[in-house]
Amino acid sequence: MILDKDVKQYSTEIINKINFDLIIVASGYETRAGYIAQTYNPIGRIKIALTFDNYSSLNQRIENDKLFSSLGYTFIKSEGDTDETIIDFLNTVRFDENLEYNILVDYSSMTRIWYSSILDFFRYFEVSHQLKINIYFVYSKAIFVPPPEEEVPNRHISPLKGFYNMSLPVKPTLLIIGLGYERIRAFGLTEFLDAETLLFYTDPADQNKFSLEVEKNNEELLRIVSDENIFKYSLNKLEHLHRIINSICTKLNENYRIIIAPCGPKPFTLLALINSILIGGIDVWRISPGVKGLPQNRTSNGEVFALLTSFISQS
Amino acid sequence: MIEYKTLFDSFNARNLTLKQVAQSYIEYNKYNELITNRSSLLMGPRGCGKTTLLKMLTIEALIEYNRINGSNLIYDIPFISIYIPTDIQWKTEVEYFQNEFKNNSEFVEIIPKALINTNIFLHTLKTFKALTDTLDRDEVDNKIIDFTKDLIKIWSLPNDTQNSFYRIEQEFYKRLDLINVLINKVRKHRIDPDKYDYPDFFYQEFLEPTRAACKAFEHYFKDSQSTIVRSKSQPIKWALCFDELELAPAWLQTTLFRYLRSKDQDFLFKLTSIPLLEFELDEHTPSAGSDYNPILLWLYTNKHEKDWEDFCNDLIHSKLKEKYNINVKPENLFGSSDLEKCLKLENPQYNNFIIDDLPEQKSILLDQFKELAQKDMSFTNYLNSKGIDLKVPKSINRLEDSEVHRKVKPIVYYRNYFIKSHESVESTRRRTRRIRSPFSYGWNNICKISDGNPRLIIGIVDSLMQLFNNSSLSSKSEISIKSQSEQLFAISKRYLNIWATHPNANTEISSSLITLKGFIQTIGFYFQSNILTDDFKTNPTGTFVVDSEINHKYISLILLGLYLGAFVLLDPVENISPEGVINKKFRLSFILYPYFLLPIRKEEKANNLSTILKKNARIIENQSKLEL
Repeated sequence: MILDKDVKQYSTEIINKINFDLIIVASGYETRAGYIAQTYNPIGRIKIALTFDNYSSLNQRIENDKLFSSLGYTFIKSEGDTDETIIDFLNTVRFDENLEYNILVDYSSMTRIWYSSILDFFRYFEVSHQLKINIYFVYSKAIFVPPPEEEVPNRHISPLKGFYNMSLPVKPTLLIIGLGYERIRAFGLTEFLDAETLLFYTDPADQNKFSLEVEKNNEELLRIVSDENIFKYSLNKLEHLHRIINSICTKLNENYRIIIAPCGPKPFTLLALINSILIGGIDVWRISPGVKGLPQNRTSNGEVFALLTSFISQS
Repeated sequence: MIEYKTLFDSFNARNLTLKQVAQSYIEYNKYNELITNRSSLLMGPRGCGKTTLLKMLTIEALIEYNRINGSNLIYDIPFISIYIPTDIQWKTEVEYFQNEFKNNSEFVEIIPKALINTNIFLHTLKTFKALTDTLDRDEVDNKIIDFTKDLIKIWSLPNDTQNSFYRIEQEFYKRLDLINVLINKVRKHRIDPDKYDYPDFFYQEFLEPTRAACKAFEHYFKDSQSTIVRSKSQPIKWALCFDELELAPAWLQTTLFRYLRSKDQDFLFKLTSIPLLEFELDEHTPSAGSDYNPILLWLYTNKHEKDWEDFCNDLIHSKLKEKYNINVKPENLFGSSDLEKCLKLENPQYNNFIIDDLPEQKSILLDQFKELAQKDMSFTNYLNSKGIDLKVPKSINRLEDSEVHRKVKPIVYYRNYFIKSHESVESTRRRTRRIRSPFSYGWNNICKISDGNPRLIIGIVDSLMQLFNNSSLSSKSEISIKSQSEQLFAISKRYLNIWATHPNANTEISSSLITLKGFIQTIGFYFQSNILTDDFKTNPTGTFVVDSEINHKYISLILLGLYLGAFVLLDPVENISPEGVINKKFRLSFILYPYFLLPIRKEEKANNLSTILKKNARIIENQSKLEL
């Protein structure tokens, strides 16, 4: 299927305006995992809660499981770093009865593999009839929690499964980093790839504590990179962010092999994935500490961002 | 286009086109070693200029250089180069792919091979195009049609490929598309890779098709009017220039390395690599000197230091003009490092000392000796052992003049500066973690601490130039010693912290996470204590030998440190060895010396790494709060 080149941002009203054919959430370790389901209780014909294989006895996990169970969700267990469970599930869903389907994905507490695999599934979904799949990705922002004092060193850097291409070193690498507030991630990427760099981060005027922390912890990198290569964005203007990413990647793809490495808020990651599909030849990579300690519990601050992206069949 | 705030970013040759490399190229005498009519192996850490030198062999770069400088270099080089790049993005993609499909053994072998071949053929094509671009169109248009027809056959391209360089290039990109579609279909289980009928190009080797292509070029164009082609010997010798050998798959590394030994009539091999390669030695192993020319791009002899300083003068002078619009010799901006000059700033009374060096009554040397003897019993013991009585200044003449100046003086000055009266060793240690060396300044010092690395010296100069941001800069002004020292300390620390962010800069040993930063600090503080806080020695330890007693997991950290430039190999004769780093001698990069308060000395004594690690068992694990 073809991904529509435009995305559309909605207010939270959309969550209750549509009777969804499918709702996919993650029953994770964070308090915010259940925020959208509990606050808006969207209507869905099929409601699935992905649950992590481990840490099932953590208090918040138990609470989330109870909540989703009470709201009529069916649980599917999955490891956080695999896409197989989701792909296997989506292969069982019928998309041949109607011309258009609406899917709600609450990716606030999902791993990158999980929500990227949903996009990847529909990218290669073959249909012989006219079909449109509307995916509403909703994200609940968390109350700011400062980064841990002790930083865990970088251990792994690699492409994201399904979102990389074999390339030829004919053009130099361009690294587009979505900055997070962990000091050493972005620098680790630049050290590893030794490439030209563009930086994106949330506008301090908009995001307050988080963005200020990002600026503080990435001060060295922000000093080195030219101002023309630094882009600030707002989570309230995701369509605008999408256009910027799309424009930059389209223009520079001719002279560079582009890697987008999102280290910050998930909506940036989502748009990186979308543009990787749209433009082709764009890799999405990740850098991680590789240490699996106890997960951090984050609570929603009440802000929810909804973004629509649609797949259309070629028939 | 990408904009650069600092010189540092714009000096990564990997990101520059061949023309851009030529436009920014500063002559470096290592290039003369590279253009000899033999295979070569350039070795050095990241940023030392390997890619620049290799790219400067290409037709496109030489034509541009000729245009700018009126140089005849393009005619002096006896071969035609084909530059074949690789990079870490490519390596990582291939490794990830091989891991993702590890259950399909044939698939994970032939895909990378097809990519490598396509890369080599594509860059060979680009070289042919660059060469024919120098020819008169009327002369060559027909020949290009016939030539490209031959190339299509040689490289197993589709028969219906149109006869032009552009179309052939597009076919190679189509191959890349095919490979990616194939991978996606296998991933989605739409194709069984064991049953797929792969096109012929998946099974090609690269050398013979490249040879055939080069022969075809000669057949059609050797009698052309091209002065470039005619300037080469007949038959033409081609240099296959493979960059960053350490990033290539192991089988390709071995193949290319063995090619260094071959007496191929058609090809030379110009390879680049990190400073140390591990290879099993056998009768096929090429021999440095007789089979190939090793070219080492780091400082390990006095002659190299002099050449390097000359190069830095030209490089930085040119960059200062280009970026900051000032026409000034770097020495005028940064001054010249001098221990006594520095001490005079700290001790104004020294300005009245007329004679600096001789152990006369009012000499800085004597004063420093006396001051240290008062607070350092081990130094007093040393003087006594040599029969030196500081009340009789001329007794210092019992020491060889060279021993005083070469060995003793810098140690004495450093120790005297950092040890306070009646201070415990532990107090000194703690204090030295917080203070800066006032001796790290001056252009000659900056050249030394950049350790033969152009990117490093440009980064250092850039950082130092920030000191001028808010003040006016003229050709007569000099950056203050104090500012330079503080900034060089900050730069030194910053490099240590930046290297520590590398994803491979950690390893697990006995359930503890050992970081590259902690590892370097263990070694650096060991050397520091040898000089500053342990008993006085005329030749404190300043280098280490990787002995076989160390845990083998440290080897990955040492190799990474070598690649990044944190460690410097001091046994260049054995830069290719079956033992790898074992039994090799290293020092820390001079860029780390300001951070560890170490004086740059010649002939530093070595100690086994296992001894250093045992003594300084405070390896800092799992570094907290990296300060960038």
